[in-house]
Amino acid sequence: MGIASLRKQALDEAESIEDVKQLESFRVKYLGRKGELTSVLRSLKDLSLNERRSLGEEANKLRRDLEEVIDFKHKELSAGGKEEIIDITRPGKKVQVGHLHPLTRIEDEIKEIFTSLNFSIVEGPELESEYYNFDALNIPPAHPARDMWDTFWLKQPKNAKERRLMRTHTSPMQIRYMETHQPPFQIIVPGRVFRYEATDASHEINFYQLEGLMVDENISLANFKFIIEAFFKRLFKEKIEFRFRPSYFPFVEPAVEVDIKFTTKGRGEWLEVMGAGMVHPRVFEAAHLNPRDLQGFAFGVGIERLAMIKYKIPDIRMFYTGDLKFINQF
Amino acid sequence: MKFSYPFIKKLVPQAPVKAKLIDGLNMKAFETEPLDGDAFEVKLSPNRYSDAASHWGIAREVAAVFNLKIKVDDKKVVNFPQNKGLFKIKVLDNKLCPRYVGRLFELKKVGDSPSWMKKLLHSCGLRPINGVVDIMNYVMLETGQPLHAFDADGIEKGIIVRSAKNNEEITSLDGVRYHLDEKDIVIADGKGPLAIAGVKGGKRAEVNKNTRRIIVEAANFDQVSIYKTMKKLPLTTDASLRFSHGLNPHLALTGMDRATVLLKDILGAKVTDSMDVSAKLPGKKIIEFNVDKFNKFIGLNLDKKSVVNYLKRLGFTIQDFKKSNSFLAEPPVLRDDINIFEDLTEEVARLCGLDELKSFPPVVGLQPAEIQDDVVLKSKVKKILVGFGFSEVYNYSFTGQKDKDSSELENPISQDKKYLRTGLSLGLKGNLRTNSKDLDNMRIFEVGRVWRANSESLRLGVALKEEDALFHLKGILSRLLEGVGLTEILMKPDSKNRLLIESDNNVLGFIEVVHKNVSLAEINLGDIVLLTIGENEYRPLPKYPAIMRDISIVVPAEVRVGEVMEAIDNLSLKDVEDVDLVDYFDKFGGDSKKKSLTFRIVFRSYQKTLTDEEVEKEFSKIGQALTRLLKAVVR
Repeated sequence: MGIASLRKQALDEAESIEDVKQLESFRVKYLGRKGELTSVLRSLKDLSLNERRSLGEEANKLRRDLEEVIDFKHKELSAGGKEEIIDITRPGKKVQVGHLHPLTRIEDEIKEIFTSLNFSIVEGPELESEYYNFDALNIPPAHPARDMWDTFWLKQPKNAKERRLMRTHTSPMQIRYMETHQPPFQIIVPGRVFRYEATDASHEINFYQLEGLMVDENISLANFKFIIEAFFKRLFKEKIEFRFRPSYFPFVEPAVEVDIKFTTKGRGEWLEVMGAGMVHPRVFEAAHLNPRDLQGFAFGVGIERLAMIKYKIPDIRMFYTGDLKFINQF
Repeated sequence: MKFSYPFIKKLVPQAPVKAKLIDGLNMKAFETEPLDGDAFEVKLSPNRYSDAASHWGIAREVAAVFNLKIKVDDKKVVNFPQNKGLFKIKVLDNKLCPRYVGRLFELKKVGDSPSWMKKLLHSCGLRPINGVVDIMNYVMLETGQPLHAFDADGIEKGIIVRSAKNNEEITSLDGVRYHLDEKDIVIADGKGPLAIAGVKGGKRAEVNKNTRRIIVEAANFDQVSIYKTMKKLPLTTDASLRFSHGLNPHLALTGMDRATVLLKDILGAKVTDSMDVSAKLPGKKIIEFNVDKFNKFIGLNLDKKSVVNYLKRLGFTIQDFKKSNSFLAEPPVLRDDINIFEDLTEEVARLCGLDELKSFPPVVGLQPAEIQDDVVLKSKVKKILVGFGFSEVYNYSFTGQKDKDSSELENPISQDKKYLRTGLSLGLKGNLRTNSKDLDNMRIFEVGRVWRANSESLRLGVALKEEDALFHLKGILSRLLEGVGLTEILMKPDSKNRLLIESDNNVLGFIEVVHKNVSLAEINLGDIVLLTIGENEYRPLPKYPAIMRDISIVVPAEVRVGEVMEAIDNLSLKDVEDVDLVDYFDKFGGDSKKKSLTFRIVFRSYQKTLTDEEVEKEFSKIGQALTRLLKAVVR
């Protein structure tokens, strides 16, 4: 028998060994004093130098491999594991697993959808200047329009040039991004925002928003409709009806409000989910861009609101309790 | 703002039933909700008070939305006495008061208003007072122009519109005393303030049942000034609400004419004199509308005829019809919100119906999407930690605890949320505490922004409560940092219960022992982004076997493991791949002054299989060095 077939035979046989006794007879059969491999090795001396070299190398390799197999099998079989009776119906050990916060989960999902639509993801500062949060966005000072955003102001250091605040929306990033990039723009900006208001089941002093901005020479409101319908359908994976209503935000013109309604599950009421519109020419100007050659849309959506709808969470304040009984459900 | 459905119905006789009217406004004008009874609530946009904070305004919207005829009594009053000198009006600053229309009326009695008027006032949330005052309020609800009536015989030497003096006082109609300063505007006479301009009338010169001569005011005030006064006092009234949003000066005359008609018809009042003190009134605005540009902007496909039709329904005047696909549009005089082409597109799009818009995929040149480095890092860190059994919490950005680098809020919502957080530890400790009634062991983390000395940074905070918390934490952090691409990490003692995490001489964060079973760490993720920009690189797999040697030593209790490891490290032994602490005993042999440590040294060469002699030569240096440096006894 040649080395190759001996090798195949031995290794096949090794597979079926089930106890230490069998293993020992296997060892004797191949590596014992009269073993099959031993005799091959012994016969080497009768061969020519060339034959000896090639055959010898193969035979020695097989010997090392068989020793390794026997060693491994021995450990496996002699551990006694096979003999001991295991109650295989016992429950599995509890493994401690971690959980992402539901807001991270939904944000990840949102980001995935938008990157699949070729949007880039950027973030910006939460402590903002009055300029980026209001002025540059065409929200005039001392105008009731500003009251749409109840603001937390920072105590001013002496001689401060500008008032600082906790950003009330993610929209300042429209300006910051456009100041430092060249169109076309296609970005989303997730992030924490702040509102000075009494908290209740649907209001928090800090919450998350997602800003979107898409600008080129031909981006229209109809394009916004396409993007946003694609987004909501993928996020909720349900049949959704959409409704667009006129609205007012100083940094877009026209401004629209987006409502959705689930049609599959008979959750039949309209839910206000998003404000949006076409970027106002003054916003382009504030970012030192020429509005004549550019048009595009911007939108803002509350992430908690989406999470509450998607996961049926009744109270926005639950997100910020740090209660693991809540978080570990996700 | 509240509106009466029957009144709208009177102005637009063909208007649909209330529910349908509300739907129409909702979809094509303003967010609108039904109220009990005859009323409904409209959430006006802040830029539409000039034309729409009135029943006439909403009726105009209703007529446009449903394409119906509207009928308002807005005829001009002509042929009345003017500038006879029976009373005087002096406006000191026409920036603060661009227009002041005053009319002097004589009446037989103040009387009562008719019941239909009272009813309307009621349903819009106003209280009927007397014939004169009710007409003032009614005209405001009708036209949007706030009006005020003074008892002409209570005024000394004519009306002056001026800035208030510092600490000037006024008692309002309802008996509240207000202290004013020079940023407020007052309507005054020779004796002092009669009214806080645009906000509230005063007690003095109040119209009462004996009044026989009244001066009616229909004025226009600087929006910013009224806004500031309203916020400062604070006092929001139907008048201040309208003025603070900005009204068009043309509206003053409209309101005055309407009041004149009603005062005559209802109370038989007669105009005896009048004045109109006015700065230059706003002129016409002409805006070019290009239909192709519109269709490209919105994504509709309207023809010129239908665009023109929509604008006409809203009262726009259209000129220059000959140009092929563009024309000139002149907005109605009160539409202060319409200034540029984009404003017109909104009017057309909403009236056509935003719901008519078909969704259409954007056609753009492809630019690869990018994700900001710290966003990538953040999600990597979160995934690794979740894999280690950590759950993620979100805490508030504000705290009640101050440290030397804290920034403070000017208007905190409560005392426990007065400062911006300077770290995440405080929040995490709170989470461990509140969850401890449900759980004995916990692993939690938070990723969030913190503020120190006015600069914002992105932090990771990790906390655990379990046996040997610190050592688990140290192990986890090493793996975590390795997982995000940092290999050279040092955890250096900083004080008794604190370690600094360093890499490449940068302090990345710290570890803190809170107590035996609770430890936490904070790491500045922004710093890590800068250190881990490099790419993973392949290293050849080891070809030669590793050889391990254990050394057990007994050292004085005060000797720390870190010192021993540093001493071994300083020997710079040849071919040492790794040094691990594998065993640790306090109180060696019952002696609390001694502890026993076992280290495993892994030797490996990338060139050859090491011999026992080679390993032994290097390994023996360890025992000698530790004996010499740390009074260790090798066991």
